[in-house]
Amino acid sequence: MSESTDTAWGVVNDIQRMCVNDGPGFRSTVFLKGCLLDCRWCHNPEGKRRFPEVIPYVSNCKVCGECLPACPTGALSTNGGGLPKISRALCSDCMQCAAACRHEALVVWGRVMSADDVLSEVMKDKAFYKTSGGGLTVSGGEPMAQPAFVAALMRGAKADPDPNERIHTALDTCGHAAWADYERVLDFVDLVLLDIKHMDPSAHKAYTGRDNTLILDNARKMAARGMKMRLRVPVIPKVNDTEANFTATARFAAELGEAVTGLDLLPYHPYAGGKYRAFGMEYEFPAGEGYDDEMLTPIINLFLDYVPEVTVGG
Amino acid sequence: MKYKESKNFFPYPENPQRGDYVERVVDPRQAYYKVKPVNAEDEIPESASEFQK
Amino acid sequence: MAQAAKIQESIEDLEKKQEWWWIAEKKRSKRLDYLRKAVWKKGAIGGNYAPGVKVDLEIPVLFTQMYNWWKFDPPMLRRAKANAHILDNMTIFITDHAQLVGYVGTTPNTLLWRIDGASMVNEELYNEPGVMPEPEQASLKKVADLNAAWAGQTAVDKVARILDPEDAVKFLSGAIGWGAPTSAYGYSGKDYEFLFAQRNGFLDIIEKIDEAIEKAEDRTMGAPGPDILPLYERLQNWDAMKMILEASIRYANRYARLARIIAENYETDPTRKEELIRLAETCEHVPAHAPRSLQESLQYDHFVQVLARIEALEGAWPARPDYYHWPMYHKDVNVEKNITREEALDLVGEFMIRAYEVGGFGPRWAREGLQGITGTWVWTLGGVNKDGTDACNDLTVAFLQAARMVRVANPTFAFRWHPKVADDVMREVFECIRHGLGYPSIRNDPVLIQNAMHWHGHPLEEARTWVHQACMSPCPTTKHGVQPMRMASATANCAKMVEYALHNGYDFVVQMQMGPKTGDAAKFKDFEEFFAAWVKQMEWLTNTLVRTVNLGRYKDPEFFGRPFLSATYERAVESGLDAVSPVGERGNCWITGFTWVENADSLAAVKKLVFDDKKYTMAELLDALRTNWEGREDMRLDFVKAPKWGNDDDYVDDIMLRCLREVARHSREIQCPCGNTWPLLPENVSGNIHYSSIVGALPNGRRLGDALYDGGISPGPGLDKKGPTAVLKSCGKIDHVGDGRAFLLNQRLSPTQLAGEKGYQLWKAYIKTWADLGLDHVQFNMVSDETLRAAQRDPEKYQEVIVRVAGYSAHFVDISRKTQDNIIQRTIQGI
Repeated sequence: MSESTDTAWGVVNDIQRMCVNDGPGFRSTVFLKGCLLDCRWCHNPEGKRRFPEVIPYVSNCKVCGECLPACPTGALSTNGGGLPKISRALCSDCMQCAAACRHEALVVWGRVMSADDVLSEVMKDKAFYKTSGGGLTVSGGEPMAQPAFVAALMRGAKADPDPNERIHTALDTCGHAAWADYERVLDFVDLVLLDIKHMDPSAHKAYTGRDNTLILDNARKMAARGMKMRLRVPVIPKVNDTEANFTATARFAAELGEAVTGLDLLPYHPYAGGKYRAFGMEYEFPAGEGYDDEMLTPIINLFLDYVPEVTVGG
Repeated sequence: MKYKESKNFFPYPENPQRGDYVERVVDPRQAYYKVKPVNAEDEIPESASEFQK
Repeated sequence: MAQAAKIQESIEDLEKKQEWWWIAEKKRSKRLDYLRKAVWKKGAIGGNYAPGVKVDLEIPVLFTQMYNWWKFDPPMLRRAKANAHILDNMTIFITDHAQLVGYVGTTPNTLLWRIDGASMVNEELYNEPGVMPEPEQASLKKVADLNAAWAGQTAVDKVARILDPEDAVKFLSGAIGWGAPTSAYGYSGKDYEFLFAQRNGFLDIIEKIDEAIEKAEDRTMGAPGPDILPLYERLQNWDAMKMILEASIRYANRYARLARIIAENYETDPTRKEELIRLAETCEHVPAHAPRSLQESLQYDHFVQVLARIEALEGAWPARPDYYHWPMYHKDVNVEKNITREEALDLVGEFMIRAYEVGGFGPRWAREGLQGITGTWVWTLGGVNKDGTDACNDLTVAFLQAARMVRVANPTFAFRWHPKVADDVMREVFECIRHGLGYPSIRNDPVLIQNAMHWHGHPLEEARTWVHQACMSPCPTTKHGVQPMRMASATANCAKMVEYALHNGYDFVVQMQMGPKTGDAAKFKDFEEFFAAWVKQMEWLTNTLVRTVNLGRYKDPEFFGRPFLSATYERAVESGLDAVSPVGERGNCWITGFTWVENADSLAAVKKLVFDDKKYTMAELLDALRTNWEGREDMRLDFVKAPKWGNDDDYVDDIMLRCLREVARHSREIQCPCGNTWPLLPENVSGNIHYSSIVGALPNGRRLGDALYDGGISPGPGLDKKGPTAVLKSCGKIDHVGDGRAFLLNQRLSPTQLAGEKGYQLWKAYIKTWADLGLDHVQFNMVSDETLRAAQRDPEKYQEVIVRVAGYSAHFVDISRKTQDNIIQRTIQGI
């Protein structure tokens, strides 16, 4: 299959450099737009919808009102405090309100970029990848919402004729995509970071919108294919933080066998609350310090009986 | 009182008309001994041995 | 395959919470704990000294009495007599539990006041609240009398009288530079090769002086002729050196005597009695003789430093303690096993505390520029031996460990990194950084050795001995390499270069014509004309500063005189000249460049918006700048958004290189008194705060009063949008050997990302990349816990902390950056 990278386009939210929690070493993490689940604790809500959109950034709003006349459909209105809010049902994504705002209080999220553009940005840090064993991580949202683009990025990372110049690649995925799509991508992926959000199918559906059948199935196929995998287990209060769920997760990890090189516990973190507030949204999870070591130690010990290595935070 | 009458006065062997006058100080941070050369026959000033604020 | 992840010990608990101060307290010995808490902090906060800290008046009175008595003596001899009088008569003290002694004041809470340096400092002192010893009125009278005696007679007064009046006015305006061109407010390197490597005690030096005197007297009693005439003065200089060395030996013996008196008459604890006797024996042996033990080695060093400071304050502390004290450490701890490693750590920790204790009275602008410390004391660790092999040793490690235990703000360390540094040493370096000490800074040893050879012609073996003269610049510790008088006054407020290029040499802040008239900027046809004006202003500014500093140096032997420093310099002992005389020194000067990056950012913004995009005319820009952007916030934001240094963007990076290379060219056209070059060294101390009200509005988008950039070649706060890798890549375009003396780079880290073994491996990889890119310096500061916690609650308000959490895009924080006013923005590049 020879898809040339210069025809591959995708919608990108962010390219974040010097990431240390998205795989080994220093990495550039490319956050793609669009998701295939709908998790209640999502910490990148700007990644849920697939295409470029305007999201309010209320912290910057000066309540000047200049955006309101720019909206042709009435989707844009203000709340009691004069801060902007957008009705998705009415919004036609024309972006006129963002153009009218002089204070960065209405921001366009999602930029259309070519794979080449993304890769040339990523390659700037090659010196750091080499010394630290780092590389490219593709994340989101859910990157597999744009499988052709992911394939182009991963292929591009490996395209250099000199093997020393190819960079390490990681795919940060929830696992809920068609296996055929994974097959297009995995040839160029060194490490899969796979979320296991809940082992109980109906709980999974209640919290993320889908059950976990496809996810667990894909996981087994990845393992059978010989992929290196790290399981990423979010620890969310009152959602999945029970011994029963962790034990089931650990057993599943053991089932995947040697493919699993380690497991990262990702405790709910309080930074997301700030993001929701900035967007003028409600975050149902409390602000606060998250989990402390005392609470995490028994969970770590539980998993260590089933996987070779456990980290907190990745 | 003259220095030479004080038990904190230590004359120099080579010149007993002068010597070291030792004081003990406890300031808000530390305790130390300080010393300076004085004439044996001089009067000890009132401020001596009090911590200089 | 199960491992226990056990967290039991309370120290480990504390480490996780990163309460470094409490860990230090728990780990250090009782003695160090006492001594650390016993110290009186001499650094000013917000320009004010801590309550209870007083200026010492004994020394200025003793000095003035004797100095005025010998008014017809030549400078060195006169000063030697005056300082000997101080050493013989000043109050000295021994702190409980101390094993090392020596201080620049009469009691632990006093500041040294060098009265003969600058009248303006003396006048400031008179008006300084809180530092007069009780009874206050009597002290004020004393100060007034002393000031009257010295009015017009201080070293700076004398220099100012012979400076070109135009130079004097412009230099003293404070707009283009800072500092005072005199030894009294400068700093000197120490000829450690002479004192330690060659094992010369003061009696050994006196022997050499006696020989030199004998030889010279043979000639002065011989055939008359012009060649013997200079010897008369040198004979007096030798006398002065001998006199001060003898007084110094007496001074040390005063401590010995006091220690014995305490042991015999006052101390009841038998262990402490033994320590006091050992202290006495130490002070009887050094500085008269070369040291025989670690305690003597450290005490000798400390005496040299204190004595040099009683002579001339000293604003820095060049030293290489792990290298020069290694022989005695090795002997005591490893070979003869006279002391345990813990006992050695006690001595090493106390050695640092004794240095921390030292403080002198400084003018307010200096205090503001040096928040919390009294000088920039950077001790040099690591590096290579003269033969190029790794010089790191057990004592390197001991200093790094002691630093974490005593946690003093000064001295700090700079580590001479080279590719063969062992892993265990790197770990210790990392631990200090991780513990939030803010040091060691990391120096690229191979690059800086080359740099020292390139700019000043130091031979390879001498270049390899290099220490930090102050915070950044390398200087050898050798006979012809050691630098006796570095003045902070060779410090340029570089932002004025572009400011004057814009305003035809006129300074709107101090309201006078400062630089040359390089043309009405509104009439410049293209960027090249503007850049040419910049070059002329740069040349004028550096010339003015360097002329002043050269003169200060040249006249210092006449206006000041340094008998003690000369007595410890091999070349001065040999020649009979003042150590400060340019004769015999190879030369090691540099211009410290504050507010350097503002130039490239401003030039780039003008090029982009005025000449390339033609969005604004120059006339519009000049008008905006002269009215401090009033009513033109949108225009100002355009200039803020113009390309900025630190983003790996060739548009502005190329301009930075052009600027540096113009200065590098000019560095070779101007000369120091030794005939050597004057390269540029971009850095800041806290000068960015002091100068914020002196530098006007600039095309990089700043308003008068905004904080200036952080320092060196660090990008402007919040203006580096691409993370630390882009910063390193921008900095890597500079040739750190040929483009300047050295280049300061500050980077801030988030401690949670550096936890554990993974954190260490990442940091090591980062250093390797930094080295591969050829940078010469990097300093890591950690985000405080307080900031981290606040950022967790309101991340959109804390751009200082760019969060790195698995799978989390923190991009939303970037968006609010541009419109945050009035917060000093500091980018934390969380790696």
